[in-house]
Amino acid sequence: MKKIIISLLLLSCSVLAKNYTIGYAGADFEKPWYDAQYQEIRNTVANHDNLKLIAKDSQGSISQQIMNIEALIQEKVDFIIAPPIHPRISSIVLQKALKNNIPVILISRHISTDDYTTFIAPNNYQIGYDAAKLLAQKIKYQGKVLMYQGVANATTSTERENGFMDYLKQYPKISVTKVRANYKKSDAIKVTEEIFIKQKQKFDAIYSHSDAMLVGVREVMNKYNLPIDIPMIGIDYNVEAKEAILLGTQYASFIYQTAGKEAVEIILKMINKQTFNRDIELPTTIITKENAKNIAPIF
Amino acid sequence: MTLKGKLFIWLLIIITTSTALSAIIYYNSMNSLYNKQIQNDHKHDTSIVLNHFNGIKNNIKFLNDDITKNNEFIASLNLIVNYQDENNYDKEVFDNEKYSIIKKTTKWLSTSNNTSIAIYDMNKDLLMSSTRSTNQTSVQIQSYDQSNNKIFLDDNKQLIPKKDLKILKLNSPLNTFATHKEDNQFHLCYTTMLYSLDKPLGYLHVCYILDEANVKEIRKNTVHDLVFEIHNQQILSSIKIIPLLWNKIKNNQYYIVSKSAITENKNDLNFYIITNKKTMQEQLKDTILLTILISFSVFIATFFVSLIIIKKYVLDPISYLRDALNTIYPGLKNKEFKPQNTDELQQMRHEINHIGTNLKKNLAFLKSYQELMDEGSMTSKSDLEGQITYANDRFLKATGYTLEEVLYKPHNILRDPNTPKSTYEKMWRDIKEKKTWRGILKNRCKDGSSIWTKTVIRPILDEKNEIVEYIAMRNDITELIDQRKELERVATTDVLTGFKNRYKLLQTLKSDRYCMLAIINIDNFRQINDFYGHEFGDKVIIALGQTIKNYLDKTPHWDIFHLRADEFVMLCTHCDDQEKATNTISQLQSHIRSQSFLLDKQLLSLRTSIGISYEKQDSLLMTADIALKYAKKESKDVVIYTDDNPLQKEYENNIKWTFIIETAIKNDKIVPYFQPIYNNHTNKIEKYESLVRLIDEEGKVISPFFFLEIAKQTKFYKQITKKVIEKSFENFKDKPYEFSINLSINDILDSEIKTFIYNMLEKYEIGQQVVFEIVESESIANFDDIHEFIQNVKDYGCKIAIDDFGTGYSNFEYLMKLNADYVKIDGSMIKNINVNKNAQLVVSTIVNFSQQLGMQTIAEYVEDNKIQTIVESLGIDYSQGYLHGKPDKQIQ
Repeated sequence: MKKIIISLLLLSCSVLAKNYTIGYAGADFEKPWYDAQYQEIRNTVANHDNLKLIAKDSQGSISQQIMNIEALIQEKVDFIIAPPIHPRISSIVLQKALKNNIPVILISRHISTDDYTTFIAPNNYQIGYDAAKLLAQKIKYQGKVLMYQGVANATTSTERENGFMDYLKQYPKISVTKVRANYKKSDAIKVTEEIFIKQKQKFDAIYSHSDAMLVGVREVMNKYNLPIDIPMIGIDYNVEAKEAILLGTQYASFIYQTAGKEAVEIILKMINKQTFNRDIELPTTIITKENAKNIAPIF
Repeated sequence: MTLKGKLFIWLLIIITTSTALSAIIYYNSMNSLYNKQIQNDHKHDTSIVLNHFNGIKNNIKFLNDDITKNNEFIASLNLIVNYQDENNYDKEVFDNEKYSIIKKTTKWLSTSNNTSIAIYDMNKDLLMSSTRSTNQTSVQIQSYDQSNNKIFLDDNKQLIPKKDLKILKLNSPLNTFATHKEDNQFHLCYTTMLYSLDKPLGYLHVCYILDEANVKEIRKNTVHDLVFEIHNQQILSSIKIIPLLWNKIKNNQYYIVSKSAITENKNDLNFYIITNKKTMQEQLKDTILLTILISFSVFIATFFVSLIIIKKYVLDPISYLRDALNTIYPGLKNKEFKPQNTDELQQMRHEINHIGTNLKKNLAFLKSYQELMDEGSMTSKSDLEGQITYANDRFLKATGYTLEEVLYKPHNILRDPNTPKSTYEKMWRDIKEKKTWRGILKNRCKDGSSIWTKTVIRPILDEKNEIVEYIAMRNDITELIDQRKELERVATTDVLTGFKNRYKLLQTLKSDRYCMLAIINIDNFRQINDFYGHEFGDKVIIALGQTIKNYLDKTPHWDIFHLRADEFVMLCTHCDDQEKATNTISQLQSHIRSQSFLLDKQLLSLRTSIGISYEKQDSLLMTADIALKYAKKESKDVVIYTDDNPLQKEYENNIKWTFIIETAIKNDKIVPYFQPIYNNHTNKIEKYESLVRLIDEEGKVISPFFFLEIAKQTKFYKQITKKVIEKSFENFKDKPYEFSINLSINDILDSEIKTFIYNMLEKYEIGQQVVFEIVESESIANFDDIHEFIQNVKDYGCKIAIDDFGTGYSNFEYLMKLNADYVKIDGSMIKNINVNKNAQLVVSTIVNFSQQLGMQTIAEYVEDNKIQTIVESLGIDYSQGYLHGKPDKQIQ
């Protein structure tokens, strides 16, 4: 027993004796989802005394994220968590990290190379696919659909689009119009005013790569007293999405987990030299009026 | 010259001179002033330009700092430099990133015109550049085409042709300002190294672009022109300068050039402040012209303003002062004082000096006068109600009052109750009418006694000519009055008899009313005097007077006067009954005759004559006197004057002739007539006698027989004598004859006539022709005076003739004493000489006597040849008479 206690203490000491610095190169803290991701990592790291977090915001800029990662490398952090903004260019700097023996944990977004240690994210393609299925059914497999795209080149955005479009290929009566709003409510407001108010286009449904962009759409509708009577499907499931779903002004949302908690947990496994999968897919849930009441939003 | 004229001229001279001197001084100082000004301007301009470029340099450095410290910029550049793959160029990512940088640089340049920002990689190849010039931005962005060839895009992502590309290779030193020329622009640039996380990324190259427009913009803040020179070769200037001539201009004496360096390397970028001296001289000329114009304007303005000011503050006050002076001047100016002929101020100075002197004199005089007045006069003042407000010591002493007793008491405390009220009423009327009242007042003193004062009262007037007080000056003449009364009494009282005298009688006749006057006179009183002596005679007179008084005292209405010697006048004031009055006098006459006067043991009876007159008052005395004379003449006791009194006729004749004589004198009608005197030896007329004639108003020639005796009793006689003398001299002044003028002894004794004769002799210088015929109808009492006259006129060459010799007072003694030259034998002896042998004998004696004394003889009244023959036979030298010519106004 005494030996067990001593060994445990030594283990603890050995574990506690080493502090680990996690560098987090966030994509854009102004975006609620990424902010939620950051909060989740921070909160999770806060639960572990041997972990220290250095978080850097890239403000949606690939150059800034690269600078941040370079800085984290220079600062010799122990781990780097990053949602890479550009799949190819980001891979170059991440490659530098790996060359410097810094494990790279990709969350929510992927890169175009294998220069990472682990990747954790829901299946964006599947979400896009499921969203198309739900929406096509709602509009009875015909009509005009307006798609609000996320950030260009971001794998999340690309895959959400690809999944959606792949499903709709079988329904030629459904046409899709794409507009880019970079996951941002502010950009969505501009685009919506242009499409609906200036161009006076009409659509039968809206598919948005994020719920934040749908918030912007509804603000424009309310501002111009336009009826919100077409089905809208968003991703992320934030507070506004829950309220809209319960009010009936949003048809559905997909929970898109930030993967922050999971990333820290993987790091702990690495520290503890435990085994882990290189690619980890996080589950998602369709939220509609039926279940929204009982499921808390992501952020 | 007047003060105005002098001031005008002086003002003109002073302002003209000062303006001209100022202009000359100004002109002389302008060159150096301009040179100094230009030097200062150059310093100023240099400072302006250097400050401008210091600002630009600072701005560039600030810009450098901003850029190098901008994380986003560094991140973007880091991405481009380190992650860009030429062979696999991600256009969307890298072009966007570069445009993002350009967007930032554009923002940086938005506040910095004429500035460029360029970024070069480590190979000093251009990555991108942004240039802001004339508010426009041009960019060059490195990119790659689809074939991975390097290209440059503009801000619209359009390809920039190679010919339009600017410097693509960096060639500037680090961390210092350096310049280079591009087209027609000078670039002042600062280059720094860019780092990312301590690793060099590339180069930042910030330039300020200086072009012509910019130079002109700087020139707006400088006084003089600017020239920027780069590498001692090319220039940019604010004026057009041919580059080839620039080196000549720099060293040209006609230009003033100041050189300064903008960069540390002095051959890099310099600027010059240049000034063309010719321009300066033109400016100087303009300035001088402007100065002359301003000076002239100032001169005119100053001149007129000075005139106005001088008029308002000098001339007008002097004029007012002069007027004020003139108001006091007349009273203080001596009549003979005349100010010097200078200006008003000098005149005023003379006048004020003159007035001051006179004022001092006057004040001294007034002081003395006041002291004298206080000493000699009783002075008091009273207010408008007559209450005493001032009294001097003399006043108080004379009246016996103290000052407290008289102050604010009315002046009438001095009033004598016997003085008529009208006197005071007139006094008040006069002084209230601002007149001076003069008079003699009797004043009552405190003790009840009276004093006589000669009083002058006059009002004191204020500046508005209103009465404020009255001042009275009194001189105590009580003693004088008493003396006058005594004198009056003495003057009107006969010393001998104690009766009122002739003077009093005449006064009385002028004032009081009398109806009858009687004059009583003692007959033959001269004999009493001669026999008993004058002292006894006086006693007789006293006794007569007393007798008259005693008699007339019994009856009222009579006044008695002692007229003269033995004459008394009795005046009757009550004439209701003339007969009664006459009877009273007649009875007085009888009373006197019946009286025996015992005087000095001599018993004497007196006979008197009385003349009475009831005529008008102003002729009472005269008419009574005529009546008395008539009584004397006719040996009557009492004669009452009547108009037909014979004496009256005689007096009337005298009065008539007196009037005729006066009229003739006034009308120059007293003329000499000339009767020729014949020389019995030469048988020629050689002399004339001047004889006086009067031409009456009808032109009738009047003989002196009618008027000469009357004239002798009047004041006109002397004038007649003078007329005859003067006109005789005038008539004979250019004639070859002697002429004789008749003079009486009284004429010779009269100093006025004597002086007149001497003056005539002096004036006409014809003494040799003049013969004075002395009429010896009167005895000569004082031969000395006569002798002196004869001697004096003989000194002038005159001769003396004795007129009417043989009658009257003339005798042989006269002839000798008078030293006569001629003896005129009286006509009464000549005219009968042919029939009266005695006359012939007397005449012969006179002739002989005269001849022995060396005197020549003249026979008067030679009326015919018989007489002439006898006259000649008797040896008389000259004949005068109708035979030889009557008196005529013309000389034959």
